[in-house]
Amino acid sequence: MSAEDFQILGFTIRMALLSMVLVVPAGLALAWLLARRAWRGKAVVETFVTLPLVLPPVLTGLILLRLLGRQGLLGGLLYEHLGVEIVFTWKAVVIALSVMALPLFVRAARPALEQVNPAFEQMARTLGAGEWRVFLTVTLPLARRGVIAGALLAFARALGEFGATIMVAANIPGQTTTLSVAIYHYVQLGQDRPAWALAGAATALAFLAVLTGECLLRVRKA
Amino acid sequence: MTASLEASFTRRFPAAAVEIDHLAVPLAARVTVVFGPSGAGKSTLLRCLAGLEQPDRGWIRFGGVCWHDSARRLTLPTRARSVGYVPQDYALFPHLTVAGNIGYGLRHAGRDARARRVAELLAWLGLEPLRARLPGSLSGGQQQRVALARALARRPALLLLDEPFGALDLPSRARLRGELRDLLKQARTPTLLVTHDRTEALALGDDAVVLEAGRVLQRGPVHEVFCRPLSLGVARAVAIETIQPAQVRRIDAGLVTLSAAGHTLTALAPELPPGTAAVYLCIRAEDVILVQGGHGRSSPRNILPCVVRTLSPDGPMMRLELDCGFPLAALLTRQACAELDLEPGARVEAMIKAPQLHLIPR
Repeated sequence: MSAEDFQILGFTIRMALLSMVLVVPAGLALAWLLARRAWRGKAVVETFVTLPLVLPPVLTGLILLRLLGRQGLLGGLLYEHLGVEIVFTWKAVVIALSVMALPLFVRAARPALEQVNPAFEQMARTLGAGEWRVFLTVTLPLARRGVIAGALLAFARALGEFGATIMVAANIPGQTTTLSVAIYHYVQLGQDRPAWALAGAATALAFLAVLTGECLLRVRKA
Repeated sequence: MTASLEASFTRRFPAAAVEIDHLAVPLAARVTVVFGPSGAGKSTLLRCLAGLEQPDRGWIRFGGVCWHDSARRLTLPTRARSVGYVPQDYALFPHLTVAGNIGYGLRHAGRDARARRVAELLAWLGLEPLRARLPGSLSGGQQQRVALARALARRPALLLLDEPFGALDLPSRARLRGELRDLLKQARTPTLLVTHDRTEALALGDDAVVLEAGRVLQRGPVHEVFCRPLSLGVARAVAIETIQPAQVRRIDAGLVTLSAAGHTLTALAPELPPGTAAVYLCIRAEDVILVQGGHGRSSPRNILPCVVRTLSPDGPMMRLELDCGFPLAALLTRQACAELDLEPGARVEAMIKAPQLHLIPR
């Protein structure tokens, strides 16, 4: 692997980790609302969260592109008021990865939270704990295996993201090029060797992440 | 401490409703047993008091503080009620150690104060050697003590125990009953204890509230409630073995002469309203004395010849079904049964002292 390939690998890992910083808190909040609260429109929100999993990633990317572009609903606001540009920068990469990884995380975290016996949460309330403390000291620790496994799965998914990323972040060498995009690019140029090298690295990383997650889910003791 | 608990509320379920009609329990560091059959609404009462469930209508007040008032749409959240709650399965936090569980409610106490209180409770309950263990590795009795320590750590104004022996096997129950009784005495915290077991109720309670089908039937000192029920419903709920309709023949200075199934019986019942003609006769099995070949004079006023129908072991005791014109139950030691050669078909005389015949107007 060339120095350039290492940069791409490092950049992709950084972006995937950053996306986890967004996905885990937002996903936990969402999973908790879905698992523990009854509210109107729950089914609709649930569907929206799952949608990126089944829509063509390129379509999700297109929607993000239109939403976040300088003329877009959100992108326009951000550009006018804060001078922040998102599309075709590393920020777009993080957002694309987050949107694509969120469904996987929520689908793992929600059952994990649901499996926590509400009796423990009620017990904590009788001991004077407020809702935040109940969540942080009882619900989350008891659901931790499922939550961590979900985060690892989402992280692995983010590492390999292609369709949505190429739409919103494109392929700007050294700035937005991620693993999958780079592999695609190499193959386009007829350079199979570096493509395979990157593919190997990607597979090894994903393998590790998913395996760790599986192990965590399997050791269901104490 | 003259805290008192007052509640009057309705909680509806798809198939039933729990209606607590003006329940007032003076608590003053006593153990009040909430007694009734399964499904009587005992746990619902406790859960509503703890704020884990909300009544559909009504109010709950504790020591002058309003905990719930549906009319004013007011509910004090669970964390703000000063209750210690011990559910049936104890619900110990599986991811925290014994010490961690006990200290959970002491977050605002400060590090030193918390450590001191936890150490105090560990020592009191003899849990010191277990302090670093996880609940999963404890026996049922140990879990019960940890749950009790955790509930008492914050010095709650009210302790709620839901079937404290529900999760234990029978031999452990008998062994731990006395232990819990002592602990509750030492804790000096007003306690509401739910049980459907009469032995437990009598062993642990100072007062009793009898609940059936979601309604409060009777409240008072536990022995009075169990020995002198005010209604047929309570007599059945507290499982008085023999309940027999009888006719009043004469009432004379507190002594009542009755006839039942051809027998003439004498009961001491000064509180029976004059003019009562028909009553239910209540006799507890342990108050029945059996004699064989009864000659000579004896003090008990009621002597009924009867035939033994069945014998069934009940722990160290033997439970007998007798026939004396009406079915009569007796509870004897196995030793006594052997000495008297009691077996099905045997003829004996049953003696019951007049004060032990309890009457309920019909």
